[in-house]
Amino acid sequence: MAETITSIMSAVTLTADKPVEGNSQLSEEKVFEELFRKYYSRLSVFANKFVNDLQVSEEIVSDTFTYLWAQKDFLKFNSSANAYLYRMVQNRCLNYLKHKKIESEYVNYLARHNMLSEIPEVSRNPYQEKELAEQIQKAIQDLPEKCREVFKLSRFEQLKNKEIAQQLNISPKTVERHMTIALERMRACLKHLFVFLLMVFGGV
Amino acid sequence: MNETVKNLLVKYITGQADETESAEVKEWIRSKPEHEKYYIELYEAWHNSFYANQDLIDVDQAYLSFLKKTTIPFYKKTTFWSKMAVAACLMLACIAGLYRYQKNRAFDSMVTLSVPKGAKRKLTLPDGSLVWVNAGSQITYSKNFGEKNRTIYLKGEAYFDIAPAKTNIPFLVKTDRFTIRDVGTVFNVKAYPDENVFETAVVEGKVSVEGKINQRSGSESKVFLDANQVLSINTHRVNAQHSSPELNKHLHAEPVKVLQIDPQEVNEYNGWKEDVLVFDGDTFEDIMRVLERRYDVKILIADESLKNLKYVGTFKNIRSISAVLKVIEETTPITCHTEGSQITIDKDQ
Repeated sequence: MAETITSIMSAVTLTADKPVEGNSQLSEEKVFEELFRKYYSRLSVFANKFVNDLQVSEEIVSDTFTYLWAQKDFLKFNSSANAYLYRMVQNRCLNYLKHKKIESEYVNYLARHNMLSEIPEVSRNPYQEKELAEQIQKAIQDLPEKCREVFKLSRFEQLKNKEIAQQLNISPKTVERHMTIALERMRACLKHLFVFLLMVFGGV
Repeated sequence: MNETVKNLLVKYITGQADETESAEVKEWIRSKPEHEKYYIELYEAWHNSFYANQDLIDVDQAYLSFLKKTTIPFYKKTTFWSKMAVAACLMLACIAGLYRYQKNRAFDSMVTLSVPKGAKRKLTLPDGSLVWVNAGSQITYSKNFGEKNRTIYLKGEAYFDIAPAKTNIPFLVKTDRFTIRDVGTVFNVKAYPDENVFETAVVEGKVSVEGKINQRSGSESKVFLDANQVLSINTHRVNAQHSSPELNKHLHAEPVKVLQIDPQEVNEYNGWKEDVLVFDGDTFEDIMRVLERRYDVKILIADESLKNLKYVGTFKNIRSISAVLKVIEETTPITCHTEGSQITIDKDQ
């Protein structure tokens, strides 16, 4: 048997160009995927400030995107209109709190100071976000070693105090103390930013 | 401010305070404006610190579950492919040699996309080529795809729309047994490890399939396929030393087949992209495997004699497995029982 079987069937030559609407469908999906990837985690962090539960935050953001896809609203978006996304997520968070009858001191505070109406600049401006990230990384780096370890496990691994105590073989009370020191330091460190955030927040 | 209060505040912020403690904190915050301000600053610090590292949020995973949720709306609207399927021709590709890529290649520089059962996923490769990956399939490619190579490793089924090459780098799809080589075409490859058939259908252009196609001689060879041709290879022949009754059935089948098909028949090979399932005389055993992947269920054929029954039918945009089975039940001597995600198929009593 011949080692090379060459197909004897004649090829049908294709000359038809791809229809234009096909391309627009492709780009529609692409635009959406980009939007999703760009904003998903930003919006989740943003939502988390309202609901203080990362899992719930992610669900709210996912639902928002599902809604957006169904409505095709994202097609109207441009780089300066993304405040709309934040507004949608914020509204959903507030509805969630209302529905679950959760009273958030943070939301109360923002509402009383008329700060719910503006989206924080840091949530919209990638440069400010980057700067903030760097400042925080430095603040974390400056924490005492054990304190830093505890804080990272709590913040970035979502571990509970008890789990951290077990993992590091220290008492839960010690974990609590480390957490308090860490957060207190972060507060002091970010205080100037906080004032700044408030200004942008309410002041525009 | 005393330490006990601070500790309580932190516990409350991190969601670890019990009811009594929470009530205590709320009371403390309400009692003085300075208290509230301190609390808000601490709360902000906790949340803003998340900006330092957002790895905890898995965007890829989130996007995948989003796709899974919206699979049907995503593709229902695509009139483009049906048009193209008509405009285009279906071509069948052939198979060649056994190509085992080295296991010790640098895995850390590879990107892998696994699509769970019940889902499918479309992506654009760095060179602009489009790939649709079917349920229960996996593709892997290197991070510098498009620079030094354009090689995709495939387990399962995928449909490729290859962008014209800007360089001389060939586009290769490698399955566990064969390599498909092409420049600027559209084709479907089906090579699930748990199935005995390797199949390539060429919609546009031309491909070659390389590997041990003639399994008796065991030497490397090459088959060229044009548009509208389908190559199918019975891969059980490749290592058919052991012999079970299950296997014998496949040994009777032709080992290598090249089919010429009509452009209208293209759906049978790539319909899955648009939620169209086409069965054209496939055996029940093969059909149930397709349905298992498509709907993420387990299907057990209780009666051996049903496995080789052949079925012809087309299903479009059907959301539930039960609806598909109901149609099949009406026209064939079978009865289905569902328990959770386990479905048992038996002969009519």
